[in-house]
Amino acid sequence: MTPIPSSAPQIARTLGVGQLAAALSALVFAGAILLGYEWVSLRGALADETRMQAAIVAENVAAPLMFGDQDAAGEMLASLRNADQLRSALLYSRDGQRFASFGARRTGPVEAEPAFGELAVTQQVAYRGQVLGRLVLVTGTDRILTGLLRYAGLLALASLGGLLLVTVVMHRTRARVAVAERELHYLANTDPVTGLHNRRATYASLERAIAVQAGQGGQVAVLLIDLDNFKVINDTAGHAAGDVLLQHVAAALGTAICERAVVGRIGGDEFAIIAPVADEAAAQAIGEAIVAALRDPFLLETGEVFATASVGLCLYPRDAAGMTELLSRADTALYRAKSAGRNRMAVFVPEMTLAMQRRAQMETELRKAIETGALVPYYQPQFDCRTGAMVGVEALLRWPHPQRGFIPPVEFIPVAEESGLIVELGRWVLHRACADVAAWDRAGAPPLTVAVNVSARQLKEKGFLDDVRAALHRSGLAPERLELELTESLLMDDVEAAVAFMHAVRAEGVRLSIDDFGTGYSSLAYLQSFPINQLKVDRTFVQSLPAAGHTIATAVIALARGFGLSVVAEGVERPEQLDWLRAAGCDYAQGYLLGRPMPAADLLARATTQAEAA
Amino acid sequence: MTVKGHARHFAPRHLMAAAALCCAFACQAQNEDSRLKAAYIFNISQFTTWPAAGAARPLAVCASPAHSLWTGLRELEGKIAAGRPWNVIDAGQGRACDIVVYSAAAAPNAAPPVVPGTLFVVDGARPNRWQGTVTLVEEDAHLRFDIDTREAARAGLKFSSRLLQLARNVL
Repeated sequence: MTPIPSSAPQIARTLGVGQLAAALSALVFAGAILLGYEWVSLRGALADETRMQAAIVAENVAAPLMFGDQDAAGEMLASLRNADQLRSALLYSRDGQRFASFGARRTGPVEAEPAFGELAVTQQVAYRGQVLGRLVLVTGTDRILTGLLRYAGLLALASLGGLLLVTVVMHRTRARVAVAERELHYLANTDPVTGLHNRRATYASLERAIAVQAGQGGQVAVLLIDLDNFKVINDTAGHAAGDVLLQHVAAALGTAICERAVVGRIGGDEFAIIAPVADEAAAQAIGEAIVAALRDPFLLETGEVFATASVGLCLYPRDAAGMTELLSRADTALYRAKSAGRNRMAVFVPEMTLAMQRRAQMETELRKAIETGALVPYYQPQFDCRTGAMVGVEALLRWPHPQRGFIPPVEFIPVAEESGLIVELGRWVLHRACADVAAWDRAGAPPLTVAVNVSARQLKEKGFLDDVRAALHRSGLAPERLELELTESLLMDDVEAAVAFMHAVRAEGVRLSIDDFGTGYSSLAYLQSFPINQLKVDRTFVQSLPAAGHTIATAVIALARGFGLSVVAEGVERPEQLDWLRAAGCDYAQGYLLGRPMPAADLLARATTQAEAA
Repeated sequence: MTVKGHARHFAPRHLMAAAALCCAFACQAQNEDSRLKAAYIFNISQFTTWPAAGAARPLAVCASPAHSLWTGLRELEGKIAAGRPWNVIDAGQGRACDIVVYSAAAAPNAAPPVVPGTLFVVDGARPNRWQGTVTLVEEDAHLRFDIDTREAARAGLKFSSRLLQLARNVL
């Protein structure tokens, strides 16, 4: 399994290089300003010093200039020989003629022109307010350069020391930032419960894998894994146990896959595996290995639990070229695996997309059908096995489609279940069934019971019990004539809530029946605690009668008897089946042999005819 | 005021040239000489510390009209020397003098009685005779001067050190 890529601490590195560069530029900038200022200061100081020398000499040469004593003036200028920076001194008379000089070229120009690296200072020579001439001192600027060099050296040393200090401090800061950055990166890419890649990191891995395989011409398998009954475990054993289970599953997935693959948790109980593979067989092998690995129970504190999974598989580039499409295709395959009964893997085939589209279209049409009242209730009669009299009906929903004719309930009920439309549909059927039976009463039909199927989604709706009361109240139907049919699996989803609901419904006087008894994970212990009135023998057991299946049928009937429950057998199609059931002591029967599901008017007609005949 | 231009005329080659060329220039040469010496005396007065008592009146310069310097001194009439107007007067008038200029020939042999605040200038060297406070001498075709600080002290005068630096001899 590929570990979560620990990114190089980008921010820390950028911070380090950036700050060093910033510090260096700041130092260079400050150094340039300081050197400039130092140059101005040194030059100013030199000029001041030279000006002072010039003032003193000018004072002294006033007398020689007045007396025309060039030798004396020359000697006085020569006294400047000890001024180390002085290059030349020139004394000009009032008429601009050179009177005396020191250090100047005799053949040079009359006027002193300071060369590069020289500084000239002119001082007026005057005595008692009378201008006598001017003195020009030309001084070398070597001292400025030396001073500047010394200053620059000192500055460089100080800067170096400062940088060293900053580097040490920065190193620590950078180390801290790097640690924080790594932690941030870890948190941003890791699922805190399992330590696997999170959704973001998983998708990033997929994108990388696609990029790599696109270049090499390889394939990438995308497997989406959904735990089949995680919600039940989470709800019954608690979130902590749920987390532990997720960790177990993560570990199991980690051992089931190859090293180059990436496992990530992309949702509550959804995992994804991204694996570069050679061919489809290798991809399927991963999927099978996962299903196999999760087939074994996990040991939690509360006991052993099964966390079977459904797996959807698709392949890059065969099934899709982009990440979003790949995930969508894998999701479609996963959906197929789930709808095919869970605890299995489904490989994506293009037809699945078509099926999904058809499904989406069906949902739209169903929604429209509900809005326009296009659905109709059908009623299948139930008969007393002993007397053969019609005692009740089971309300069923039919959808006459304008183009496709009657759409079988097995096609549209799952769509209604998944889309949540079942709640509205169920409510409508409940009200309609109660109203119809009450209307039959008024029309002279014998008092029939009506069985209405309840879906899991309805049971979870808080207002469902109120709906039941409202339906009874509005129709005026006696509560004991309404029977709610619940499936085993529906009850096992959340046993506590189901039992509470059943007691509440029973308190209203409404009857309860367990549908499809014996087909799911039935617990006989629960049967004891459920306040039910009736068991329904599933059609699969009835259909094989009387040649086979009588063991189960007998057992169910005996069980019902033992608990004091009535029994109704569905799917009775042949007379010998009815005979067998009657002989076995089954109370009621329904099926094509006795009466197909029919519209309300037809049922009323049949019920009244039967009553009259009786 | 500088005397540089005049001093250059005293350069040996110039002097010789002047002598060799033409005696018709003798008068002009003498005038130049007179002007230069007068300028020297004028400049020396500038470097002299005079008693405060006479500060309000002109600087009286006494000379004999017969002296060759008379013209040169007169040309400076009215100019401000040491803060006072230059005023040349005939020595024979018997008026109070700040500066008395003697020719070498006319100067007394012995020192005259001390007159406080009076500077005696003798034009020309006179070995073994009284030479005044300042003596103008020609040496190597240069006009130089000697200063007798004792004479100056007696008259209550002081000279600037800068003047003393330029003197040929300081006694």
